[in-house]
Amino acid sequence: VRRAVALAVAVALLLAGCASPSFSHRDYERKAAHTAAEAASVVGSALLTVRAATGDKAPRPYLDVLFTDAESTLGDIQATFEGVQPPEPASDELRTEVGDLLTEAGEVLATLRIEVRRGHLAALGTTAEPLGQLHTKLDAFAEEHR
Amino acid sequence: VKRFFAITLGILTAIGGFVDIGDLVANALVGSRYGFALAWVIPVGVVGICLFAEMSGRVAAASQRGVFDLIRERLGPRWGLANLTASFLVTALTLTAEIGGVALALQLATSVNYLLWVPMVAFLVWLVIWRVKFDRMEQVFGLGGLALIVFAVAFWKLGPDWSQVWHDASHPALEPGEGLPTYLYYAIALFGAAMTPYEVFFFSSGGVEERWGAKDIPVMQSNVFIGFPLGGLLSLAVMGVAALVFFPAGVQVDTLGQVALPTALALGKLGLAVALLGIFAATFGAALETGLSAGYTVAQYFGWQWGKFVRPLQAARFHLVILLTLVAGAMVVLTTVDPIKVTEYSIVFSAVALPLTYLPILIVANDPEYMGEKVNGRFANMLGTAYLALILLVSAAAIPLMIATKAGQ
Repeated sequence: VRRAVALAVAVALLLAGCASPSFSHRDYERKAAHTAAEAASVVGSALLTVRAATGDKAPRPYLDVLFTDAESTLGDIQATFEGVQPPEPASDELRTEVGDLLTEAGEVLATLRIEVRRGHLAALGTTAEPLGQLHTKLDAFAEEHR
Repeated sequence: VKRFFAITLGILTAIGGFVDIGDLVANALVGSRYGFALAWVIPVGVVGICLFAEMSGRVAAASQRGVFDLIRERLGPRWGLANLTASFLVTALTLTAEIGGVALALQLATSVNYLLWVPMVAFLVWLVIWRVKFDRMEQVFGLGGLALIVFAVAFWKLGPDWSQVWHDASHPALEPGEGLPTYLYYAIALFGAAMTPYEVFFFSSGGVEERWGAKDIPVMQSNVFIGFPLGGLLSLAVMGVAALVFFPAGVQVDTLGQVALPTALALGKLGLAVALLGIFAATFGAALETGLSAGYTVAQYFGWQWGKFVRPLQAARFHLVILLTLVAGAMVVLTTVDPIKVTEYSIVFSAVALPLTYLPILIVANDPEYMGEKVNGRFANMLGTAYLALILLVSAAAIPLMIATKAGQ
């Protein structure tokens, strides 16, 4: 019965998308890399959305939903990662590095969402400029720490 | 001319009605993550659904009875009840995903939060089921789903390197960092999306609704053998545009908005508008089909009067089951659970439940007592048995792979 309960709890946690704890620095590093890869995917998607917006290829309501989704997904990714306890002091550096990149990306996505809602579509290209570099950094981090 | 028109309309309806939220999400997600490396699953799934849909259509035409009615009679109430429970739960989960899909499509067009659309979507689905004639309902949303052809146009407009596409599809290879279990998990998800059980309940019960007889079997077969594979091409197109736009950028599709983005990039606002219309029609049509299928399965098992060919008053319990399932589905979406996650789980659980749907169909289609001279031939039995073995394998592997890969992470 205990085994069945343990399995049920594990499956429930899995289905709920909860992050498991990290027991070693290497494990934490892998989680940080996975987080960076997920964030790079969100930022890459936002860059494609910006391309559609600046080329006048998508209407405002659609762009609003995509930027809102991107911001919310990135927030979830960040919250999940920051909820994991860094196992060693050495892990703090990774936490800060990824955390800073995610915060910066989140701020750009929030600004994009605000500008779309205000109808300032022409400004999106300029606002999104830091996203390219952030995408490269997140990708590089994910690759280095995989 | 009238017969030609009926056949063409049936085929077009089958094409447009083939794709639902599970196909949209699974194909776009897989295309963005694996490029064309899992494209081979679509033809495998399409052959499977053609095979069993044709069998269930033939059962309906030969016996003028619903599949669940025959399953209970042929296999006994206990086996029938186990079958009913699994099939109903999977269909209800799929209905939940479709309601979420319609609401998300409306959100993309209006930017009004999808949760505000959910009660209205559920009400409209119920109203259409209650008021609109079966064939009209099937045709309008099936033809509306044809708007998804815009994904094929976008694929062509994006200018793929055709030889590279063929090479990637015919020589599937894993990207560095991707494990085999995750690859197989997504293969199962695609297969489950293509062979969702409700499709055969709806198809065969629809045959009874439309009073198919032996003379209608050729028309039914043309719908299945021409319409479904062409519908499968729409699935390939959804995967294809995701593979061309998202895969090289390292972007994984997680939202319905992203599914439509390649059409905007390729064709601009008009292309996006047509894509959103197609997504709306496909998901709304599938919500009608799953809602009706929930009613069909329960009513046929318990021997209640069912169907839209009688007045609602005469099939009150059938309509009550539909109403309650719709309300439950809408309430689940209103808990703010992610509709895309619901969709992903619904197609995996569909894969788990596949044998419970397809084994009884194979058994009934082989029974001369029900089928008369329309009983399965040797070829249908050989292919059906081979697919049943594949379905059993897929069903057994689905949950372990889901746990091992943390649901494809």
